[in-house]
Parts: sequence; C-alpha cells; structure tokens
Amino acid sequence: MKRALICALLGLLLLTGCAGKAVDPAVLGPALLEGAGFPEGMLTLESDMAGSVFQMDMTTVTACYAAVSGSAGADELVVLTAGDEDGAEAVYDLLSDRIACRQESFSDYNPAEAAKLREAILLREGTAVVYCVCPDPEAALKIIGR
Amino acid sequence: MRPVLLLLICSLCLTLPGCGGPAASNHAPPEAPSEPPDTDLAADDAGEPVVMPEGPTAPEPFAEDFSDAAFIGDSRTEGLQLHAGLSEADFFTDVGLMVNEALTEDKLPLPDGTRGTALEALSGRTYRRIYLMFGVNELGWDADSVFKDDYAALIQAIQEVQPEAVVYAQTIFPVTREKSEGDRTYNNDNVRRFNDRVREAAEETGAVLIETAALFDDGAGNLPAEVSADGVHLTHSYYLQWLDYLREVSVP
Repeated sequence: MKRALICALLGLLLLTGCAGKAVDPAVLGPALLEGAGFPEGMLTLESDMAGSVFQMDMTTVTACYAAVSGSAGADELVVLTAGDEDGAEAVYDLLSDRIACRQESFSDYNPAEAAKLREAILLREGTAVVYCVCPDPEAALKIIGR
Repeated sequence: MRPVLLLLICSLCLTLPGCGGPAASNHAPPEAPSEPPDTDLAADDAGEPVVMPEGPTAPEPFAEDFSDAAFIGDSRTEGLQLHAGLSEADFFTDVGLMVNEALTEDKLPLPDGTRGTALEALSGRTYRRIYLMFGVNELGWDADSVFKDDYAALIQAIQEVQPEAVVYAQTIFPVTREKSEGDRTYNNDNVRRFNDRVREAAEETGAVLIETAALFDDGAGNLPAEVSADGVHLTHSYYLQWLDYLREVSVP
C-alpha cells in the first residue's frame, strides 16, 4: 500500500512536467519561445496586453508569459499560473475556444497556418496553463516535459 | 386749422415706425444686436467690470491612449493592436474578416470570451470613436459595388448603436509592387478600385474618411518594400506610424 502510494505520488509529480518543480512562466515561456521553432518577429506581450489580446481576466492570474506572431501568423504562446484551479480552468476553456475559432478563421485565410492550430498544445496542471501554437509541437512537448 | 392739422399728422408719422422713416420691408431681418462690448472695457453702471457669458466650449480631446475608441477590422487592424500596444482600446478583429461578415457572422471576440458580430461587440459600452478598415480580404470579390453597399450598411448599423461616436472609415494600404505584380487578386489596381468604394461608402453615410492609403506610398501607388515583410502587412515601426497618423487626424 505504501509502495503504491509512493508510485502514484511520483506519477503525479512527473505530470507536472518539471520533475516536481512548479511551472514558472518566466522560465518555461522563454524556453518554449526559443526552442519550439517559433519564427522571427514574435511579439512578447506585457500583462495588460496579454489580457486584452487573449481576453483573459488578469486579476485571476499570478504570473504570465505571452507571445504572439507579429506578422499575422497563427503562432501564439501563453504560459501562466492562476490564483486557483478555477481560474486556471477558466483560462483553459477560453484558450480552447480560441483554438477552435482561429482554426476556422485561418482555414480560409491561410491554410498553412491553420495546420499549426490543429497541432496546438493546451495543457492544464493544477493552477498552471500552457498554450502553444508553434511550428514544432514535438520540441515544445519535450521542453514542457511530456 | 388745416395746415396745423397736416403738420401734426406729419409729425406723428415721423415718430411712428413705418411711416416715412427709412425704407423697410416686412421681411427685413431684425436689426442685428450690437456687438457685446469688449470685456476689458465693459462696465456696469457702478463702473464694475462685467464678465461676459462664455461661448460654446470646445469638445474634449480624444483620449491619448485610445481608451475611448474601438477598432474593427481584419489582420492589419489586429497588427495595429499588437504592435502599437493599445491595451486600453477595444479591438474587434479577426484574420480574414470581411465587411459583410462583421455584420452577420459571430467572428469577433466579445469581452466575455465568446464570439459575436460587430454590433454585439460594440454593445458593451459607449465609444467616442470607432475606426474601421476593410477591403483587402474582399479584393477578390467580383462586384465592388456589393462591397460598397455592405460597407455602408455596416457603418449605418454602427451609427445606430453608437450615435455619439465618430465613425472613421480608413482606405486600405496598397500592397508592395512585388506582391501586386504577381497576384491576380492582391494587386494595386484592385486596391485603388476598392478604395474608391470606401470613399463612396463614407460619403454616403457621413462617416469620416481617413486616407490611410496615402500614408505609405513608394510614389507609384505601391506599399514601399521596406514597410512590409510579406507584401501585405506592415512591420513594427510602420504600425507605430499608422497610430501616430490616426492621432493626428482624429479630431472630435
């Protein structure tokens, strides 16, 4: 029983993606921006702009790293921690809808960019949310630790 | 007696209005009121200075941060939001958005995180100004007259829900020469044709026209090559110039 409990806890820790470390947007965000094949010209967004662009209620967010394409591409990145799990879930739902809407928009506008949205990464672990639309989702998952 | 009576009648006529005084028409406008005395010189009977009533006040200037503004448009307008960092303005944009869709399709981001039409997007608050830019995604339309009609319909619908706002219709930037020469749809002959329709829609509806198309021009009606990486969208510093231009031409 004790061994099973330890294994379950270990599995849970691994699922956080960082060997037990809490997600730090200020670390994971730049790492993804650097390593997931994002094109040049990505714009990193200050908190208020991230809230405006992604329509997030930033009062529920404790830390956020966000970047978007500066050239009308589909590439986007958000790594954040919310104040509680409800806040994280709300952001997760918002970004899930965003993927669907942008996939529809880009399918006519720029099909090549729409393909990135089909491979979009959207993860929630506790109060952390990772959203990544990028040219190299496999590399992104490795960086996240999945 | 008779001459005295005549003299009396004449005297009365001279004092009564309309009787032998200066010629006047029944339709003559009333005498213009005399100019109010200069404030510095005006004084009441006691010699105290008289403060003249103030004239109409000038309208309050628009907000420097565009917090009183909404922007509706396509990817170019989205680019303006992202590059200019206008976090206080409301942007209702979608890549590929067309003017008819803005009125009828649930494509624009709403404050509650869902998607809706332009009118739904504007329903949340009162704006002092609303900027529109449409046309580049419609360049492939067969009938530019339909574009004009749809644009006018959108403007009029916006004017009804936001009667206090100044609605600005912006002509669209050209594309680069390289883009124009190689594309049957996204070329500057089409841009010029559709910009004429934008002008017509503005004139028809009373929207204020902003000739954004003239902002970046290589002298031959093309977007200068250095302004755009893909031939259509601006690059960072040129979005900022666009913003500065909007500040300059937007007067309440």
